[in-house]
Amino acid sequence: MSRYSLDEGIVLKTVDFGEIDRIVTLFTRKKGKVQAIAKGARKMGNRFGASLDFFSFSEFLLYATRGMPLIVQGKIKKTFRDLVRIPLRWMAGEYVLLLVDRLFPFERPEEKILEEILFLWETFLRCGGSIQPLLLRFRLDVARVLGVFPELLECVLCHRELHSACASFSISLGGIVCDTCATKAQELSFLSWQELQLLRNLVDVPLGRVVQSRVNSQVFQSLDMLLSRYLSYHGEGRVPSFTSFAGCEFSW
Amino acid sequence: MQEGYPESLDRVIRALSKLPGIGPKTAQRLAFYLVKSPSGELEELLQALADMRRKIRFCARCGFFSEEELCRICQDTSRDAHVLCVVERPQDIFALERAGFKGRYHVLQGVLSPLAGVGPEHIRIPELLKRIQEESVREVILALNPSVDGEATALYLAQKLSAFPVKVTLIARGLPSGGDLEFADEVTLAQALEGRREIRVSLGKEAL
Repeated sequence: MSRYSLDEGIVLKTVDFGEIDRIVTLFTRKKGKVQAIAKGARKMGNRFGASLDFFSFSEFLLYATRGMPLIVQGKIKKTFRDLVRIPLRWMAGEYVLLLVDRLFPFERPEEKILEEILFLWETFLRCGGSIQPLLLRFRLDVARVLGVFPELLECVLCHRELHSACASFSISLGGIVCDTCATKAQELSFLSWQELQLLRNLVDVPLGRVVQSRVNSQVFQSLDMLLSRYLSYHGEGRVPSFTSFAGCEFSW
Repeated sequence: MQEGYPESLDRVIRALSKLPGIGPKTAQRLAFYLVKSPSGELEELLQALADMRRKIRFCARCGFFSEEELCRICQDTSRDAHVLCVVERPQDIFALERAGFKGRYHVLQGVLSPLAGVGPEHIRIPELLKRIQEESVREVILALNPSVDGEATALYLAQKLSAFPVKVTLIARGLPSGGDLEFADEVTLAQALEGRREIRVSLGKEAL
Protein backbone atom coordinates (compact mmCIF):
# COMPACT_ATOMS: atom_id res chain seq x y z
CA MET A 1 0.00 0.00 0.00
CA SER A 2 1.30 3.46 -0.89
CA ARG A 3 2.41 5.63 1.94
CA TYR A 4 1.22 8.68 0.03
CA SER A 5 -2.35 9.89 0.29
CA LEU A 6 -4.19 12.87 -1.14
CA ASP A 7 -6.71 14.70 0.97
CA GLU A 8 -8.22 18.16 1.09
CA GLY A 9 -9.05 20.35 4.03
CA ILE A 10 -8.26 23.37 6.15
CA VAL A 11 -5.74 24.30 8.84
CA LEU A 12 -7.07 24.40 12.40
CA LYS A 13 -3.85 25.48 14.09
CA THR A 14 -0.07 25.46 13.73
CA VAL A 15 2.76 25.20 16.22
CA ASP A 16 6.39 25.98 15.44
CA PHE A 17 8.55 22.88 15.69
CA GLY A 18 12.34 22.83 15.67
CA GLU A 19 14.11 25.55 13.72
CA ILE A 20 12.15 25.65 10.48
CA ASP A 21 9.31 23.12 10.76
CA ARG A 22 5.71 23.35 11.87
CA ILE A 23 3.25 20.91 13.38
CA VAL A 24 -0.03 21.57 11.63
CA THR A 25 -3.46 20.42 12.79
CA LEU A 26 -5.58 19.84 9.70
CA PHE A 27 -9.29 19.14 9.34
CA THR A 28 -9.55 17.07 6.19
CA ARG A 29 -12.33 15.49 4.20
CA LYS A 30 -11.14 11.87 4.47
CA LYS A 31 -9.42 11.79 7.85
CA GLY A 32 -11.03 14.56 9.91
CA LYS A 33 -8.74 16.17 12.45
CA VAL A 34 -5.13 15.07 11.97
CA GLN A 35 -1.73 16.39 12.98
CA ALA A 36 1.08 16.42 10.47
CA ILE A 37 4.58 17.84 10.18
CA ALA A 38 5.39 20.39 7.51
CA LYS A 39 9.17 20.37 7.04
CA GLY A 40 10.65 23.76 6.26
CA ALA A 41 7.28 25.51 6.62
CA ARG A 42 8.78 28.47 8.48
CA LYS A 43 11.26 29.32 5.76
CA MET A 44 10.46 32.15 3.36
CA GLY A 45 9.61 30.84 -0.09
CA ASN A 46 8.78 27.36 1.19
CA ARG A 47 6.89 24.94 -1.03
CA PHE A 48 3.64 25.23 0.94
CA GLY A 49 3.00 28.93 0.36
CA ALA A 50 -0.19 30.07 2.05
CA SER A 51 -1.76 26.58 1.98
CA LEU A 52 -0.76 26.11 5.63
CA ASP A 53 -2.26 29.36 6.79
CA PHE A 54 -5.78 29.93 8.13
CA PHE A 55 -8.66 30.47 5.70
CA SER A 56 -7.12 28.40 2.90
CA PHE A 57 -8.93 25.34 1.58
CA SER A 58 -6.17 23.20 0.11
CA GLU A 59 -5.27 19.83 -1.30
CA PHE A 60 -2.58 18.08 0.73
CA LEU A 61 -0.28 15.25 -0.20
CA LEU A 62 0.52 13.37 3.01
CA TYR A 63 3.22 10.78 3.57
CA ALA A 64 2.61 8.24 6.34
CA THR A 65 5.47 7.60 8.77
CA ARG A 66 5.67 5.65 12.00
CA GLY A 67 4.88 8.88 13.85
CA MET A 68 3.06 11.91 12.55
CA PRO A 69 2.51 12.03 8.78
CA LEU A 70 4.51 14.51 6.74
CA ILE A 71 2.85 17.13 4.57
CA VAL A 72 4.69 16.77 1.29
CA GLN A 73 2.70 19.27 -0.75
CA GLY A 74 -0.05 21.79 -0.21
CA LYS A 75 -1.98 23.36 -3.08
CA ILE A 76 -4.60 26.02 -2.45
CA LYS A 77 -8.01 25.29 -3.96
CA LYS A 78 -9.78 28.31 -2.56
CA THR A 79 -8.75 31.11 -0.23
CA PHE A 80 -10.90 33.17 2.14
CA ARG A 81 -7.96 35.25 3.31
CA ASP A 82 -9.76 38.54 2.73
CA LEU A 83 -11.60 37.83 5.97
CA VAL A 84 -8.72 39.60 7.72
CA ARG A 85 -9.98 42.85 6.25
CA ILE A 86 -13.20 42.61 8.30
CA PRO A 87 -12.10 42.28 11.95
CA LEU A 88 -15.24 40.77 13.44
CA ARG A 89 -15.49 38.24 10.61
CA TRP A 90 -11.81 37.37 10.89
CA MET A 91 -12.47 36.52 14.53
CA ALA A 92 -15.66 34.63 13.64
CA GLY A 93 -13.69 32.69 11.01
CA GLU A 94 -11.09 31.69 13.58
CA TYR A 95 -13.78 30.94 16.16
CA VAL A 96 -15.21 28.10 14.07
CA LEU A 97 -11.68 26.67 13.83
CA LEU A 98 -11.37 26.73 17.60
CA LEU A 99 -14.70 24.94 17.99
CA VAL A 100 -13.68 22.13 15.65
CA ASP A 101 -10.22 21.84 17.18
CA ARG A 102 -11.52 21.62 20.74
CA LEU A 103 -14.67 19.58 20.21
CA PHE A 104 -13.80 16.91 17.65
CA PRO A 105 -11.63 13.90 18.37
CA PHE A 106 -8.75 13.00 16.04
CA GLU A 107 -9.35 10.95 12.89
CA ARG A 108 -13.11 11.28 12.77
CA PRO A 109 -14.04 12.55 9.30
CA GLU A 110 -16.93 15.01 9.29
CA GLU A 111 -17.37 16.16 5.72
CA LYS A 112 -20.59 18.03 6.49
CA ILE A 113 -18.82 20.20 9.07
CA LEU A 114 -15.94 20.89 6.67
CA GLU A 115 -18.41 21.97 3.98
CA GLU A 116 -20.29 24.11 6.48
CA ILE A 117 -17.08 25.91 7.51
CA LEU A 118 -16.34 26.70 3.86
CA PHE A 119 -19.91 27.95 3.45
CA LEU A 120 -19.59 30.11 6.57
CA TRP A 121 -16.33 31.68 5.41
CA GLU A 122 -17.80 32.38 2.00
CA THR A 123 -20.86 33.98 3.61
CA PHE A 124 -18.74 35.97 6.09
CA LEU A 125 -16.91 37.40 3.07
CA ARG A 126 -19.84 38.10 0.78
CA CYS A 127 -22.80 38.77 3.05
CA GLY A 128 -23.43 42.26 4.38
CA GLY A 129 -25.93 41.12 7.03
CA SER A 130 -25.43 39.85 10.54
CA ILE A 131 -23.37 36.70 11.01
CA GLN A 132 -24.74 36.01 14.48
CA PRO A 133 -27.43 33.50 13.37
CA LEU A 134 -24.75 31.52 11.50
CA LEU A 135 -22.55 31.31 14.57
CA LEU A 136 -25.48 29.92 16.58
CA ARG A 137 -26.53 27.49 13.83
CA PHE A 138 -22.98 26.18 13.42
CA ARG A 139 -22.84 25.18 17.07
CA LEU A 140 -26.20 23.44 16.80
CA ASP A 141 -24.90 21.53 13.77
CA VAL A 142 -21.70 20.62 15.65
CA ALA A 143 -23.86 19.31 18.50
CA ARG A 144 -25.90 17.25 16.05
CA VAL A 145 -22.82 15.73 14.42
CA LEU A 146 -21.33 14.94 17.83
CA GLY A 147 -24.57 13.17 18.72
CA VAL A 148 -25.47 15.58 21.53
CA PHE A 149 -28.13 17.70 19.85
CA PRO A 150 -30.25 19.40 22.54
CA GLU A 151 -33.91 18.53 22.88
CA LEU A 152 -35.82 21.69 21.96
CA LEU A 153 -39.37 20.43 21.41
CA GLU A 154 -40.36 18.44 24.46
CA CYS A 155 -39.35 18.22 28.11
CA VAL A 156 -36.32 15.95 28.48
CA LEU A 157 -37.83 14.40 31.63
CA CYS A 158 -41.58 13.89 30.98
CA HIS A 159 -41.40 14.10 27.15
CA ARG A 160 -44.42 16.37 26.94
CA GLU A 161 -44.38 19.06 24.29
CA LEU A 162 -43.77 22.52 25.67
CA HIS A 163 -46.33 25.28 25.04
CA SER A 164 -45.52 27.74 27.82
CA ALA A 165 -44.12 31.22 27.16
CA CYS A 166 -40.70 30.33 28.49
CA ALA A 167 -38.71 27.26 29.43
CA SER A 168 -35.86 26.07 31.54
CA PHE A 169 -32.87 24.50 29.88
CA SER A 170 -30.77 21.84 31.50
CA ILE A 171 -27.23 21.54 30.11
CA SER A 172 -26.54 18.25 31.85
CA LEU A 173 -29.89 16.66 30.88
CA GLY A 174 -29.49 17.95 27.32
CA GLY A 175 -32.55 20.06 26.61
CA ILE A 176 -35.60 21.93 27.79
CA VAL A 177 -37.42 21.10 30.98
CA CYS A 178 -41.11 21.92 31.63
CA ASP A 179 -42.29 23.86 34.67
CA THR A 180 -43.61 20.71 36.34
CA CYS A 181 -40.33 18.84 36.03
CA ALA A 182 -38.16 21.88 36.76
CA THR A 183 -38.20 21.09 40.47
CA LYS A 184 -36.50 17.73 39.79
CA ALA A 185 -33.66 19.18 37.71
CA GLN A 186 -30.59 21.07 38.86
CA GLU A 187 -28.61 23.98 37.40
CA LEU A 188 -31.31 25.21 35.07
CA SER A 189 -30.86 28.12 32.67
CA PHE A 190 -33.79 30.35 31.81
CA LEU A 191 -34.79 30.37 28.16
CA SER A 192 -37.28 32.99 26.95
CA TRP A 193 -39.91 32.05 24.39
CA GLN A 194 -38.12 34.26 21.84
CA GLU A 195 -34.81 32.43 22.46
CA LEU A 196 -36.41 29.00 22.27
CA GLN A 197 -38.26 29.87 19.07
CA LEU A 198 -35.09 31.22 17.52
CA LEU A 199 -33.18 28.00 18.29
CA ARG A 200 -36.01 25.92 16.78
CA ASN A 201 -36.15 28.14 13.69
CA LEU A 202 -32.39 28.04 13.19
CA VAL A 203 -32.53 24.26 13.06
CA ASP A 204 -35.43 24.14 10.61
CA VAL A 205 -34.21 26.74 8.11
CA PRO A 206 -31.87 25.61 5.30
CA LEU A 207 -28.31 26.78 5.95
CA GLY A 208 -28.37 29.20 3.02
CA ARG A 209 -31.29 31.09 4.57
CA VAL A 210 -30.02 31.22 8.15
CA VAL A 211 -28.36 34.57 7.53
CA GLN A 212 -31.81 36.10 6.96
CA SER A 213 -32.84 35.29 10.53
CA ARG A 214 -33.06 38.24 12.86
CA VAL A 215 -31.27 38.06 16.19
CA ASN A 216 -31.05 40.97 18.58
CA SER A 217 -27.75 41.32 20.42
CA GLN A 218 -29.18 40.47 23.85
CA VAL A 219 -30.69 37.22 22.58
CA PHE A 220 -27.45 36.41 20.75
CA GLN A 221 -25.32 36.91 23.84
CA SER A 222 -27.62 34.77 25.94
CA LEU A 223 -27.72 31.89 23.41
CA ASP A 224 -24.03 32.33 22.60
CA MET A 225 -23.19 31.70 26.24
CA LEU A 226 -25.70 28.86 26.63
CA LEU A 227 -24.53 26.93 23.54
CA SER A 228 -20.86 27.30 24.49
CA ARG A 229 -21.53 25.98 27.98
CA TYR A 230 -23.59 23.17 26.47
CA LEU A 231 -20.84 22.13 24.04
CA SER A 232 -18.18 22.43 26.74
CA TYR A 233 -20.18 20.05 28.90
CA HIS A 234 -20.92 17.47 26.20
CA GLY A 235 -17.90 17.87 23.89
CA GLU A 236 -14.25 16.84 24.12
CA GLY A 237 -13.01 20.17 25.48
CA ARG A 238 -14.04 23.56 26.80
CA VAL A 239 -15.03 26.27 24.34
CA PRO A 240 -15.56 29.97 25.05
CA SER A 241 -18.56 31.93 23.87
CA PHE A 242 -17.96 33.98 20.75
CA THR A 243 -18.48 37.15 22.78
CA SER A 244 -15.64 36.30 25.15
CA PHE A 245 -13.48 34.91 22.32
CA ALA A 246 -13.72 38.14 20.33
CA GLY A 247 -13.31 40.24 23.48
CA CYS A 248 -14.82 43.63 24.02
CA GLU A 249 -11.40 45.28 23.75
CA PHE A 250 -11.40 44.52 20.03
CA SER A 251 -13.72 47.46 19.46
CA TRP A 252 -12.75 49.24 16.26
CA MET B 1 10.90 10.07 36.77
CA GLN B 2 12.12 8.17 33.69
CA GLU B 3 12.82 4.57 34.66
CA GLY B 4 16.49 3.84 35.28
CA TYR B 5 17.82 7.40 35.18
CA PRO B 6 19.39 8.92 38.28
CA GLU B 7 17.22 11.74 39.58
CA SER B 8 19.66 14.54 38.70
CA LEU B 9 19.90 13.39 35.07
CA ASP B 10 16.15 12.97 34.85
CA ARG B 11 15.67 16.54 36.10
CA VAL B 12 17.98 17.85 33.35
CA ILE B 13 16.07 15.87 30.71
CA ARG B 14 12.75 17.17 31.94
CA ALA B 15 14.04 20.77 32.07
CA LEU B 16 15.48 20.56 28.55
CA SER B 17 12.31 19.06 27.11
CA LYS B 18 10.42 22.17 28.23
CA LEU B 19 12.42 24.26 25.71
CA PRO B 20 10.63 25.04 22.43
CA GLY B 21 11.27 22.52 19.66
CA ILE B 22 12.95 20.03 22.01
CA GLY B 23 11.14 16.74 22.45
CA PRO B 24 11.98 14.02 25.01
CA LYS B 25 14.38 12.24 22.65
CA THR B 26 16.38 15.38 21.83
CA ALA B 27 16.38 16.32 25.52
CA GLN B 28 17.88 12.91 26.35
CA ARG B 29 20.52 13.28 23.65
CA LEU B 30 21.51 16.74 24.90
CA ALA B 31 21.61 15.57 28.52
CA PHE B 32 23.84 12.58 27.64
CA TYR B 33 26.17 14.92 25.76
CA LEU B 34 26.34 17.28 28.74
CA VAL B 35 27.17 14.40 31.09
CA LYS B 36 30.09 13.40 28.90
CA SER B 37 31.12 16.94 27.91
CA PRO B 38 34.80 17.87 28.29
CA SER B 39 35.91 19.54 31.47
CA GLY B 40 35.04 23.24 31.55
CA GLU B 41 32.51 23.13 28.72
CA LEU B 42 29.51 22.60 30.97
CA GLU B 43 30.73 25.24 33.43
CA GLU B 44 31.09 27.68 30.53
CA LEU B 45 27.53 26.98 29.43
CA LEU B 46 26.23 27.42 32.98
CA GLN B 47 28.13 30.69 33.33
CA ALA B 48 26.80 31.94 29.97
CA LEU B 49 23.23 31.08 30.95
CA ALA B 50 23.62 32.75 34.34
CA ASP B 51 25.10 35.88 32.71
CA MET B 52 22.31 36.02 30.17
CA ARG B 53 19.73 35.65 32.88
CA ARG B 54 21.34 38.44 34.92
CA LYS B 55 22.15 40.90 32.15
CA ILE B 56 19.66 40.55 29.29
CA ARG B 57 16.46 42.53 29.42
CA PHE B 58 14.18 44.16 26.90
CA CYS B 59 14.97 47.71 25.81
CA ALA B 60 12.68 50.13 27.67
CA ARG B 61 11.92 51.97 24.42
CA CYS B 62 11.77 49.48 21.56
CA GLY B 63 11.60 46.07 23.25
CA PHE B 64 14.76 44.64 21.62
CA PHE B 65 17.31 42.58 23.59
CA SER B 66 19.58 44.81 25.65
CA GLU B 67 22.03 44.77 28.52
CA GLU B 68 21.23 48.36 29.44
CA GLU B 69 18.03 50.35 29.80
CA LEU B 70 18.19 51.30 26.12
CA CYS B 71 19.48 48.94 23.43
CA ARG B 72 22.39 49.80 21.12
CA ILE B 73 19.99 50.69 18.30
CA CYS B 74 18.00 53.16 20.39
CA GLN B 75 21.26 54.69 21.67
CA ASP B 76 22.68 55.10 18.16
CA THR B 77 22.13 58.76 17.25
CA SER B 78 23.22 58.23 13.64
CA ARG B 79 20.08 56.23 12.86
CA ASP B 80 17.00 57.81 11.27
CA ALA B 81 14.63 58.50 14.15
CA HIS B 82 11.85 59.55 11.77
CA VAL B 83 11.33 56.02 10.48
CA LEU B 84 10.02 53.38 12.85
CA CYS B 85 9.85 49.74 11.83
CA VAL B 86 7.32 47.61 13.74
CA VAL B 87 8.22 43.92 14.10
CA GLU B 88 6.64 40.95 15.81
CA ARG B 89 9.62 39.52 17.74
CA PRO B 90 13.09 40.80 18.75
CA GLN B 91 14.80 38.24 16.48
CA ASP B 92 13.10 39.85 13.43
CA ILE B 93 15.36 42.86 14.00
CA PHE B 94 18.46 40.80 13.14
CA ALA B 95 16.97 39.97 9.73
CA LEU B 96 16.12 43.62 9.02
CA GLU B 97 19.56 44.74 10.16
CA ARG B 98 21.10 42.30 7.68
CA ALA B 99 18.92 43.90 5.00
CA GLY B 100 20.48 47.29 5.80
CA PHE B 101 17.59 49.09 7.50
CA LYS B 102 18.85 52.23 9.24
CA GLY B 103 15.80 53.49 11.09
CA ARG B 104 14.53 52.52 14.53
CA TYR B 105 12.38 49.61 15.67
CA HIS B 106 9.43 48.77 17.83
CA VAL B 107 8.92 45.15 18.92
CA LEU B 108 5.28 44.17 19.50
CA GLN B 109 6.19 40.89 21.26
CA GLY B 110 3.51 39.04 19.30
CA VAL B 111 0.57 39.59 16.97
CA LEU B 112 -3.17 39.66 17.58
CA SER B 113 -4.48 36.12 17.62
CA PRO B 114 -7.94 35.29 18.92
CA LEU B 115 -7.09 31.57 18.72
CA ALA B 116 -4.10 32.05 21.02
CA GLY B 117 -6.04 34.46 23.24
CA VAL B 118 -3.81 37.41 22.30
CA GLY B 119 -5.65 40.73 22.23
CA PRO B 120 -4.38 44.31 21.80
CA GLU B 121 -3.71 44.63 25.53
CA HIS B 122 -1.33 41.65 25.47
CA ILE B 123 1.15 43.11 22.99
CA ARG B 124 3.05 46.40 22.95
CA ILE B 125 0.49 48.45 21.02
CA PRO B 126 -0.09 51.11 23.74
CA GLU B 127 3.71 51.64 23.92
CA LEU B 128 3.80 52.10 20.13
CA LEU B 129 1.05 54.72 20.20
CA LYS B 130 2.86 56.52 23.03
CA ARG B 131 6.09 56.58 21.01
CA ILE B 132 4.30 58.02 17.99
CA GLN B 133 2.98 60.82 20.19
CA GLU B 134 6.29 61.55 21.90
CA GLU B 135 8.89 60.98 19.17
CA SER B 136 9.32 62.72 15.85
CA VAL B 137 8.20 59.72 13.80
CA ARG B 138 7.16 60.46 10.20
CA GLU B 139 6.81 56.94 8.84
CA VAL B 140 5.79 53.67 10.48
CA ILE B 141 6.78 50.56 8.53
CA LEU B 142 4.77 47.49 9.49
CA ALA B 143 7.15 44.53 9.02
CA LEU B 144 4.95 41.72 10.35
CA ASN B 145 4.91 38.12 9.19
CA PRO B 146 2.71 37.50 6.13
CA SER B 147 0.37 35.21 8.07
CA VAL B 148 -3.37 35.74 8.51
CA ASP B 149 -2.88 37.00 12.07
CA GLY B 150 0.09 39.15 11.00
CA GLU B 151 -2.02 40.81 8.32
CA ALA B 152 -4.95 41.32 10.66
CA THR B 153 -2.59 42.96 13.17
CA ALA B 154 -1.19 45.22 10.44
CA LEU B 155 -4.71 46.32 9.51
CA TYR B 156 -5.56 46.92 13.17
CA LEU B 157 -2.41 49.03 13.62
CA ALA B 158 -3.05 50.96 10.41
CA GLN B 159 -6.49 51.82 11.70
CA LYS B 160 -5.12 52.91 15.10
CA LEU B 161 -2.30 54.93 13.52
CA SER B 162 -4.65 56.75 11.15
CA ALA B 163 -5.34 59.12 14.05
CA PHE B 164 -1.72 60.37 13.92
CA PRO B 165 0.05 62.48 11.28
CA VAL B 166 2.36 59.65 10.18
CA LYS B 167 2.74 57.73 6.96
CA VAL B 168 1.97 54.03 7.53
CA THR B 169 3.47 51.48 5.14
CA LEU B 170 3.46 47.69 4.99
CA ILE B 171 6.49 45.77 3.76
CA ALA B 172 5.86 44.24 0.34
CA ARG B 173 4.22 40.84 0.14
CA GLY B 174 4.66 38.48 -2.77
CA LEU B 175 7.23 36.46 -4.63
CA PRO B 176 10.48 35.51 -2.92
CA SER B 177 13.74 35.97 -4.86
CA GLY B 178 14.95 32.90 -6.67
CA GLY B 179 11.63 31.10 -7.16
CA ASP B 180 9.73 30.27 -10.35
CA LEU B 181 6.49 32.15 -11.00
CA GLU B 182 4.63 29.00 -12.08
CA PHE B 183 5.07 27.44 -8.65
CA ALA B 184 3.74 30.41 -6.69
CA ASP B 185 0.41 29.86 -4.94
CA GLU B 186 -2.58 32.08 -5.67
CA VAL B 187 -2.38 34.04 -2.40
CA THR B 188 1.28 34.92 -2.93
CA LEU B 189 0.68 35.86 -6.56
CA ALA B 190 -2.39 37.94 -5.70
CA GLN B 191 -0.37 39.83 -3.10
CA ALA B 192 2.49 40.32 -5.56
CA LEU B 193 0.05 41.75 -8.11
CA GLU B 194 -1.57 43.97 -5.51
CA GLY B 195 1.82 45.31 -4.43
CA ARG B 196 3.20 45.79 -7.96
CA ARG B 197 5.13 48.98 -8.64
CA GLU B 198 6.03 51.04 -11.63
CA ILE B 199 9.44 50.36 -13.14
CA ARG B 200 11.40 53.56 -13.69
CA VAL B 201 14.00 53.15 -16.42
CA SER B 202 16.76 55.64 -16.92
CA LEU B 203 18.14 55.64 -20.45
CA GLY B 204 20.77 58.30 -19.86
CA LYS B 205 24.44 57.81 -20.70
CA GLU B 206 25.13 56.42 -17.22
CA ALA B 207 22.55 53.69 -17.74
CA LEU B 208 24.06 52.71 -21.06
